[in-house]
Amino acid sequence: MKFIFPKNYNFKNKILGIIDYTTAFFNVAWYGIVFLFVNLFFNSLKIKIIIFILLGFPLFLFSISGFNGENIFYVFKYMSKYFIKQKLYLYNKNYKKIFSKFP
Amino acid sequence: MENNTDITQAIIDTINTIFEKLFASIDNNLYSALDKITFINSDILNDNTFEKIFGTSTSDGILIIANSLLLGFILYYSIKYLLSHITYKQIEQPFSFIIKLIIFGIFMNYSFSILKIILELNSNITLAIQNLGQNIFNSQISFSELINKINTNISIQTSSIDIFSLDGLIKGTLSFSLLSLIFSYSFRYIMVKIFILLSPFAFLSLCLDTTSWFFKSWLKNLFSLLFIQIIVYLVLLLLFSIDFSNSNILNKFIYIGGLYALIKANSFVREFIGGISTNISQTVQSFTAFRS
Repeated sequence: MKFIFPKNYNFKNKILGIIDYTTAFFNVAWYGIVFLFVNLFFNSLKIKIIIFILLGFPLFLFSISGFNGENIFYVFKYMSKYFIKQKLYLYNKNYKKIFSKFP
Repeated sequence: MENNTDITQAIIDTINTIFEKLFASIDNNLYSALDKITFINSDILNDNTFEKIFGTSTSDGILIIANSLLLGFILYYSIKYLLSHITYKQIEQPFSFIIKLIIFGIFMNYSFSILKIILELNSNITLAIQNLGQNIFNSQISFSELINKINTNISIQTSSIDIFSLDGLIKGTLSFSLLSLIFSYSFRYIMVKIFILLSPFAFLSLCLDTTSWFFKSWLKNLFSLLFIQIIVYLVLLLLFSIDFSNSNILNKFIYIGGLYALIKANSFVREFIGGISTNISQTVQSFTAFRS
C-alpha cells in the first residue's frame, strides 16, 4: 500500500494530539524560567500569579494555535534564520533527479 | 413441619422490619433534601465562601486569574499583530479586538451578577410551573408531596410493608429510584457550581475567534444542567395531574414510569441539547469499561 503525503508535510508525534514534543519542552523551559524570575523578584502572591500568567499564557496560545497551522517554535526558527542570513532556499530531496532531466 | 413454618415466618418478618426501617428513613430524610437540591436558584450563590473563591473584586479569587488571562490575551494579540506584518498573515483588526476586549472584559468581571440573573430566570420558570400546579391541584408540586401522594393514594403503608408482595416491590423500586435520583441531582448541583466558577473564563474566551469554542461548549453544558430542572418539574406536574383515587395496578406502574422519566430526564436533556451526563450509574459503567 502506498501513502501519498505532500512533500512539505511534517509528520511529528504530538502529546495528546495537541502539542508536539519540541514545543512542549520549549514551553516547560520557558515556564520554568518565568517561575524562577517571578519567585526571585516578587513577594506578593497576586503579582506572582499575574506576571506568570502574563508571560506564560501568550506562549501557550501560540503553541496551541500557531501560525497558519505551522508551529510557532518553527516560525521563530525560520524567521531568525532569515534575519541572520537573508537567503531563500527551495528545498527538495530529489533535486538531482529533477535537474538531471534537463540538459 | 410447624417449626419450619415458624422459622420461615420469622425470617420474612425480620426482612420486612429491616426494609420498613430503611424505607421510613428514606421517606423521612430524603425527599425534603431532594426538593432543595433539585430546585436551584440564585440562593446557591449567596454563600460567603463561594463568593470568596469567585472573587469579590477584580483582584481576588478566580477573577484575578481571569484578569491576568485578559492581559495575556492583549500581549498575545500584540505579538500576533506585530508578526502579521512580517508573515503577511491576515488577522483581526485592532479596533474590533479592542471593542471585543472591553465588552467581554466587563462581562467577565460582572459574570457573577450575570449568572445570578440567569439562575433567577430559570427558577422563575420553575416557580411558574409550580404555581400552575398549585392552582390546579391545590397541592405544592414537590418531591415530598409526591411521596405523600404515593404513600396515601396507592395504599402503601410504611408501617406494615410486605416486601414479598407487589406493593412492597413497587415501594422498594420507588425508594431506590429516588435514592439514585438524589445522587444524580447532587452531582448536577456541584456541576452547576463548577460551571459558574468557569464563567469568567468562558466570557473571556470570546475575545478571540480561536478560543470562542470554549464559551459555546460552556453555555451548552450550563444550559442543559439548568434545563433539567424545568423538565423535572414538568414531569412532577404530569404525575400530580394523574387521578389516583381509584387505586389499581396501572396507576402504580404509571408512578414508576414517572420516576423513571425523572431519572432519564438527564439523558433526555443531553440528547436534546447536549452537555454533560449527570447519570451516576452511567459514570460507573464507563469507569468499569475503561478498566476492562
